[in-house]
Amino acid sequence: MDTEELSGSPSLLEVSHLRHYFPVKRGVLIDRIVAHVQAVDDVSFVIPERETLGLVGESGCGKSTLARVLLGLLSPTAGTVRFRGEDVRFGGRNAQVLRREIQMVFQDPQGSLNPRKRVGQIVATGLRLRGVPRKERESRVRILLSEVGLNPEHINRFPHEFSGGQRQRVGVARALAVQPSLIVLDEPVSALDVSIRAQVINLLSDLQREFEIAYLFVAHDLAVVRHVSDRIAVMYLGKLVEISPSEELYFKPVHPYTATLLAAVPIPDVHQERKPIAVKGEPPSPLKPPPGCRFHPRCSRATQLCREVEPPLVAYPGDHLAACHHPLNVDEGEVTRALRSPLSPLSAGETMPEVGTQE
Amino acid sequence: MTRFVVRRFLQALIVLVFASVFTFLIFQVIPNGNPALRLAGRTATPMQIAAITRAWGFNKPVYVQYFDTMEKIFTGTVVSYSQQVNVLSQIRQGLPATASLAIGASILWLLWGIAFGLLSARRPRGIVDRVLAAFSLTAISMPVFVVGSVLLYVLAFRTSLFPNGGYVPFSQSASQWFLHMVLPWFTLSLPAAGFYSRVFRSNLLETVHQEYVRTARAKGLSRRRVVLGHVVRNSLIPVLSLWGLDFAGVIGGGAILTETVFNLHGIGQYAASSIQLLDVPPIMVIVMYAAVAVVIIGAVVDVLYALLDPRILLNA
Amino acid sequence: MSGEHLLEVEDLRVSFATEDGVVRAVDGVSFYLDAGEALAVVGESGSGKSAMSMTLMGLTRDTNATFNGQVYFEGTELIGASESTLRHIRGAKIAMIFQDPMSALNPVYRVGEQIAEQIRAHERISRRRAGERAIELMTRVGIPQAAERARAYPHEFSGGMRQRVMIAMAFSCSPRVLIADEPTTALDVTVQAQILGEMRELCEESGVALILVTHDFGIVASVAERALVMYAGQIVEQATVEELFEDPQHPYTWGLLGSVPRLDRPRSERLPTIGGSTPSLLNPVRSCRFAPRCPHAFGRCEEVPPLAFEVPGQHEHRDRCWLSVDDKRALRVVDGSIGLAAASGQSF
Repeated sequence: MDTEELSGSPSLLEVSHLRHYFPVKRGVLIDRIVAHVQAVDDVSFVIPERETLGLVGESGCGKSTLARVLLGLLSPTAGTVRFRGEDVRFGGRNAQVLRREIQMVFQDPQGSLNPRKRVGQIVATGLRLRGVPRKERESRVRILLSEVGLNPEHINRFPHEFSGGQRQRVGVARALAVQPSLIVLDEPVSALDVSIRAQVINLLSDLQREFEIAYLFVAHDLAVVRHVSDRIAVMYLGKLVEISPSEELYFKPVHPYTATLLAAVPIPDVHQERKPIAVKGEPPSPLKPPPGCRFHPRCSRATQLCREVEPPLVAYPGDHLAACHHPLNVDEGEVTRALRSPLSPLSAGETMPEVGTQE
Repeated sequence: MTRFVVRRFLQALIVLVFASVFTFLIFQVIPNGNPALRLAGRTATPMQIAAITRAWGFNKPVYVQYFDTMEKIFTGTVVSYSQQVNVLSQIRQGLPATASLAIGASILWLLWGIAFGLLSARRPRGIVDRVLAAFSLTAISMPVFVVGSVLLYVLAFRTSLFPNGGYVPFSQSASQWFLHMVLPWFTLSLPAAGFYSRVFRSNLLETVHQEYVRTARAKGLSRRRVVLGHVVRNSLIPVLSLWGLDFAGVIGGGAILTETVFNLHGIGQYAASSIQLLDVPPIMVIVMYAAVAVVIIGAVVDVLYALLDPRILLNA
Repeated sequence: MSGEHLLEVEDLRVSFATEDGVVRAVDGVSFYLDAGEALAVVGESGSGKSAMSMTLMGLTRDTNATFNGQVYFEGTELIGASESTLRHIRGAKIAMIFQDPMSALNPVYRVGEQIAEQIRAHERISRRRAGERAIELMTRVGIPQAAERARAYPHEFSGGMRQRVMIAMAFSCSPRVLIADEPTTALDVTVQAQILGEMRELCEESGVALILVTHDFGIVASVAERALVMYAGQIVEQATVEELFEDPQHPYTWGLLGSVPRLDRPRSERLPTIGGSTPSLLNPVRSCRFAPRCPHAFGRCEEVPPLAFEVPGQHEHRDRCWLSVDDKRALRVVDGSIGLAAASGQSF
């Protein structure tokens, strides 16, 4: 991925060493900043046009914060976000126009739609922003509604008159109205019933093909993420620990945390008796992350090196990246051909991984 | 927790400073406010006025006057313009009546409000609820001076069941004290009870749908325990903090109308007459006293709230 | 009815009278539960699973609710039983844990108090002794430094720990049945694995029967022995877990199984889906409730409600569908796996 950028046009979205820290204030009369929650701590990745990058991780990993920074809802503490090569961080007209290229679909289909507006109005907002003349708006709204599988005749209904799945479709229509190149979806199906999820997921794939949109799909449900994504990024405590092509993720997790996550997902198969790779305890607070590799206190493979040196993000053959000193599922050959990725955090050490102790 | 407490009290102090400055400045800018004129009386000559101005320091710059007044307040020597009486002693004299009114009325309206709120919430939109809702609306809308005057007229003037206004100290006669306070208590509590019953009712109805109430029932707790220990307990917390502030308002001399109608000669009535006379020193002192009462009681209430609801400390 | 099972539910019907009409939340549900068994109840919103589990506990508040049918617990009839009888069973013989532990715990009471409260509601025991028992329970469910943590408030715990507190509460009076309503849905996946494992161990150790309400088939496969699939207030299929996964009979079950993406299988192009949305429980149709969304529906489905048929050779396996067993086995495979054919995408 990172090597591709040297040739050809800039990728759709390029995130470089992005940080977002939340200040923690304490004080008797006047609040002073005493610490920072390192929600997103030096994260870099690339999303090419028309592709879907899945982003997974458990609570406190920073994925939702990252999504909000990309959408411009939060300003990054450090790092850059480039959209087709242009920096979108700063205010100003240019950034504003670029921001329209990035739209969002949120988790809560009920809370994310204004209950006092008709769905036609909600969807039309995007058209208005794009400068579509008033006369044309209604017909376009109807077209959008049918694109997302809703009845165009319901254009004047209110959100509460729709089911959860339908409301989520309205949210998608609203995002589409602006004709974005990238849609950030933050847990778009987790609030929906199981049978409705498949409908919305299929819809999203269809729309992606038809409108040539890229997705950043943030979710905690690994199976859903794997289904929709081309590549999957795994976050832990503010850091990216693995980026893998989605086909490989299940059978070839390289980072022990990824392996733990995958092992913990219950499979609908009566005969499979997998013993989950035991992980101790719960993720520590992002206020005081452990030194070295952030996963080391819970990792069964941790060594002294892991406690001291933050592992760099290493690119293995097949475009699979992982940040671990003692990676899983890679053989000698792959390790030899591995390269330190430019996406690696600046704080990471230089030590390259080694294949050694098996699990 | 200590940080929370210290923080609250420091904020209280700042508020007090601002309150005193603000009040002082108000009276510098209102028309007809020249205190020298008032002190001099109707038939004052310009020379007399000038002399008084000099004697009282009204010609000094504003901030000097402010600090002088503050000094007098803190040393207890502040004297009113109209009667040259020591303000602080006046306030001390009025305190028992105001305190009796505040304590009695606030307990009455709290219990009343809780009782009616509970009755209304038992069967929402039932007959009892609707009747009590009408009652609350009426109670909140009725002006205190109308209720007070009507009660005085009917129950005191015409029928002599109750004394016709005035205040008798508890030390002098407990029964007379009580009889003199019944009508004022009732009058002042009426609108508050109406309000509190609605607030409590809505808290109850909201709490009853909370998941932890469902858990409490699932645990097999007795109905009484579920209602008292979980529903009422959680619903009361916001009501108590409201109550603390309302109480502070009354004891700070805020029940001006009630005190005046019933001629209790409390701090509120003193404030009312001072305002009419544009008598700055008593007003200043009362404002500051009221501010102290509200701010301190408010801080106490905040701390109590944190004790009752530990989530508050999370954000402190 | 005989008392051969720990819990027997017979033709349970629960309806609510609302302004718009009668809502039949549970419409003719029958099943049983034996001591120490783990039974999964699978369903989506509007399936009636929550109404059913609340009814088993006698927790349905609504004064507009009507109950019909029978629920026998250890021989005692629960429908129509006095509040006092129910109260002695609730929390003591049948315990329940809910989905969101943050809102399920009272935020103003310490955690240890809340556990002790349950114990004292059912046993004559001193406050101090109840507090000690609470600490023991907390240790047993895996909360470290229980003595200290018992004095903490719910918001001071993480999600997984809070759910462990709920489990401690549920086990406090040694119940015979534990009803867990989506207990891990709000938790992270690694924590979920821990909690499910611990819950199952605790149940097995103490011989407690488990009713696990969930929508996740993975959880069904790893925890349950038998399962019920609910749709629109009825049980559309019930079977042992093996039978359910290997020989599912009802098209709704196929739809559910097929529409869930699986990590252990290659990615499919499109997910098979169930078109349309869940029907309203208001004045439901008398015929097959799933027919409007079923691609295999035919004449009789829209006219006569399907009876519960037993699958030949599988005594535990029943479902409500007019298709013959052979037809079912032929129709349910789509692109090599079980599911319904992918919907066209139009879902008005």
